[in-house]
Amino acid sequence: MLLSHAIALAKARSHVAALADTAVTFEASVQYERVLLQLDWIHGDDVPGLDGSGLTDDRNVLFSIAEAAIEELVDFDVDALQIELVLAMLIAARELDEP
Amino acid sequence: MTYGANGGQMRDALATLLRQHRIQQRLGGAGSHTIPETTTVEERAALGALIARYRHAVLVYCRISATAVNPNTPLDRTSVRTRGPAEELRYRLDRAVEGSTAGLTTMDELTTPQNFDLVESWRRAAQASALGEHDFPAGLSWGTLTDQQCRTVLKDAAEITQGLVVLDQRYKNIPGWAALRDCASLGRAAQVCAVFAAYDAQDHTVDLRGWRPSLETIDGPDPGGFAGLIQTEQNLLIHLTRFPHAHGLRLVIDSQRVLSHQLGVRVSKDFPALSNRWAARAATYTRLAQQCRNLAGLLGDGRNASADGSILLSRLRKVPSSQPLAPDQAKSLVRLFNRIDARVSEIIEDGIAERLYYLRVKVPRLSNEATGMVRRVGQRYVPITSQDRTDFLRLARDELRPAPSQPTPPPGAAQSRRKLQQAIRNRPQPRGDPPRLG
Repeated sequence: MLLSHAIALAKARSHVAALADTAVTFEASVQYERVLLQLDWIHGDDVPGLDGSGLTDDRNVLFSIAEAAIEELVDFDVDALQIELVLAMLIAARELDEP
Repeated sequence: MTYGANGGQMRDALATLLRQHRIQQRLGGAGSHTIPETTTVEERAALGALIARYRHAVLVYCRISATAVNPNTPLDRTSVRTRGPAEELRYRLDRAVEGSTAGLTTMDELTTPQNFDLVESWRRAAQASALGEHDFPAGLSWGTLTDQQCRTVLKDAAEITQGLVVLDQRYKNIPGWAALRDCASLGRAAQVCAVFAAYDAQDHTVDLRGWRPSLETIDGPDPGGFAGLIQTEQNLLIHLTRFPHAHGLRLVIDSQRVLSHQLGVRVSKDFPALSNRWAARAATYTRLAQQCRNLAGLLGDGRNASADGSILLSRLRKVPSSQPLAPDQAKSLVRLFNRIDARVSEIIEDGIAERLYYLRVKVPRLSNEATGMVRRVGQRYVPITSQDRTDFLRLARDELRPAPSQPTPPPGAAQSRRKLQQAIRNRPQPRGDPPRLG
């Protein structure tokens, strides 16, 4: 894993984890957690640790950064179909994240 | 069959036998002029030999019991003065077993019901002995039992031996009957040992221990409803016997978190206390899932367990929300949840202690050891040795692990023992020996 790949993946993981922690509903939290599990599974559980420092509280911003970081993973030879599936899961989680 | 079940069957059979007199008549021999003789002397001799084989099985069981709960020191260079009550009983049982010429019972003799009630009672006692022998290697030993439990097992063995001695004297008129070796010494040793073991309080919870069949997966199609959930949860528990890798553990934790939450919501009206308990379980698993995000560990195999977790959640979605949870199903789920929690907690502790699970450090950095133009990112993993880094271990130990339950003895444990004691004590005086008054 190259440094830029690791940074993108760490960013995606950290922001998805933050979304899971701040989710309004239980179902959304579970769904975000599964996005995280799926990301880890795609990378064979060989992933960098979370870095939760300095993240914003705004969930819209968190979501946008997570989405962009996941899309960025395609540039590092990660299977594009898998990335699309993860993005679909992320969007499904967001739809559940309504009070 | 536990120790209590086998011991109970043996005591019941012996208590029945101790209440039976006029042994020849009970074997079809001549007695009262109104009861015709139905067996020949040879047939009664054959029945006597069969009874002796059954008795041998019970005797061997008593020897195994007395040895299991007493340090297995060699007794060949000891004397009656240097042996304690338990050792004396062991020594006398050893001699009785070695001196027995009856031989072992065959499987047919143990499993085929007998025509005469008396022989049938012996068969039941021998059958319980044969099954009961398996209880001792399955955790019924001096090292694993408390002192009180050891004394209870010792007292049981002593009382059963007392019963055998009484019956041996009563059966001496059976044609060709082979009496126990040193019967009087054996009886005395059993009596002294029973009194010695009863000095302190008994602990009948030992009846719950012993051999149990191992859990098996429940195969087959989805029975539907909550039964399907119980089926998969049971399979998950069994598949967790294989140590899962970190990703597999995370999937299992996810499945338990969702299951507890959904079930807690569904049963909130019918079982409010259970609903709160399952909500608390869901909260614990949520915290565990959060702590697991940085968990790494490639060793292990969690494929079956995580597949069961997925099946569980898909079956949960199919259960109609209007379907009520039956009380026995709730009981089964509680029992399974407790066992899964205990197992997950054990897996986490083992994984940390054996360094199979690691924590990822926060920031990746370039590897200095790499050669060539492209430098790969160096991954750093640290063992989970301190609670400063994670709350993982505390959660597993303090919140997830179910509180140890206080075992209660089975309902008939004391009564079964009392019946045998009464049957041994309340035997009629021999003829010609007037009862003592005062």
